[in-house]
Amino acid sequence: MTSIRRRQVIAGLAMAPFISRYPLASKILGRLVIIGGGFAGATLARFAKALEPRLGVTLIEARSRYTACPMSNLVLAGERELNQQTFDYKALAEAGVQVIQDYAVDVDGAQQRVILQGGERVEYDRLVLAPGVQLNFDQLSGYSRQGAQDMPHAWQAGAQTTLLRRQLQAMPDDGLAIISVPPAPYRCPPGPYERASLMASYFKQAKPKARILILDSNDRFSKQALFQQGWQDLYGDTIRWQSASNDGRVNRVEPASMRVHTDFDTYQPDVANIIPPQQAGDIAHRAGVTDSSGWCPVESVSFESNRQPNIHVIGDAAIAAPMPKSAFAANAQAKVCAIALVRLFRGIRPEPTVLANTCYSYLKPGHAISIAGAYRTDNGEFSAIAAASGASPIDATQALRQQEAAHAADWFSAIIQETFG
Amino acid sequence: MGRYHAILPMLVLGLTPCGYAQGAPSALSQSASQAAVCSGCHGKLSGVAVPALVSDARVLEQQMLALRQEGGDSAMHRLIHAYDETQIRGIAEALASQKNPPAAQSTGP
Repeated sequence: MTSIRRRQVIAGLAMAPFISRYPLASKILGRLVIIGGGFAGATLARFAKALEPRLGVTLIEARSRYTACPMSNLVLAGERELNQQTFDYKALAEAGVQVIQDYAVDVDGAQQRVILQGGERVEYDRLVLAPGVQLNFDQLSGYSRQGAQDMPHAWQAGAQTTLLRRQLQAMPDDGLAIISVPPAPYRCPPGPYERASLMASYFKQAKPKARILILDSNDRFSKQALFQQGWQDLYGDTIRWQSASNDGRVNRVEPASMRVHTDFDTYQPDVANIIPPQQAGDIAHRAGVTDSSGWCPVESVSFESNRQPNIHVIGDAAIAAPMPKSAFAANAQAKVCAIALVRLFRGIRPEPTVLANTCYSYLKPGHAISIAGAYRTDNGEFSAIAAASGASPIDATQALRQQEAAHAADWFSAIIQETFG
Repeated sequence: MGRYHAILPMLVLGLTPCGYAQGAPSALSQSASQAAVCSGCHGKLSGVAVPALVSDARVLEQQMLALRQEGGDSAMHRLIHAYDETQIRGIAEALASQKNPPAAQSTGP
């Protein structure tokens, strides 16, 4: 591992207020700094360095290992181990990306510097923010990080996933599990409806009398007809979905007593999977690139912020609707942004392109559906290409569902290889 | 094995901008950008190893056009309709020009 640890650097630079990993010199085309080592940030770092080796590429990521959310619902169902979801940054370092394991706590846009937790500063010519989402616990009355120990969100794969899995295993055989879905937009995967499907798959084997209630803050959801048909076919009445208009919006929780409140009802489930509202990761707010929605408006070709020059935002934090906030979208945006950035560093204007996304969802292990979309990036906005968008057929054969499950596994394998090596 | 299954792994491999051949689309071109977007909806499990004809842009182009015309229910069958014939040719050339993409050596997680 050749990543530079903050404290190791500090030891040698006690008197130096700045860390310039790549001081401007003739051999360096420019300094590209990326905050966030998920599917967006890590992909961009690798891709940009491969495209332009003269570029000084620095990735700032607090974690030494990344736990991926796609496929993590299979962990809840007992069909996959969490360690199959975890990856490190060795391949990035080996590719010449400087990996700094630290928290980026602020961005000084005027001086073009990132401030790390210890006060060190990393200078950039262009900065890419890929912070993902932050969970807004305070937007749901009664919920908190502490409360998530009783009512796990499992929306950041890792310990929360394990906690929810154990709760599902421990719940009574005829128990009730609630999934609370926040208002859109939220990051997906792990998708709440796929989660319900795979929880039901587990229940069908281990607790056939158990039930799932989805309390939804929305009135519709992606692949809705496919999911609802699949739930009926595979699980009978195990899964019940309650829309926002049908008193589905959870407005308060009491983790200590396991109570979940909607406008007109109170539930006391055995397991409560509470997914809180979301917005762009904290550093995006500190960098001044968010708008009143809590997300980051960007220019569609280069993903440069509409609010701060030389700062680009990709992945879940960016407003790229109608693209969803998915790992596929983040990875695709990263590659397009990397090409745009290298062009900018070389003084060439970036060009519009076509972006794409596919979201696979398991209805049960080995049985999946998908929705795909393609998007133009010209005219300063993202727009769906209707002819290239759509979901799996509702009357598909078992063979097609199996094939789509294989494609989902293939996709995950490919994106992991591309992102983490 | 249908033509569809032959093309898909190529798209999986169109991931990393390594070693573009001379005369091929620039790694910074619009075609390269469009080729880069593919993240491998399909691949090893779909049944095919790295095809030798990945370096033949014309064959690749024909297979992509066939994918669009034959119809099908996979995500790739839907996404291919985002591209016109000129774009497909450019994407094929961009993909074919890549040498030894790291994804080709993937053993998967």
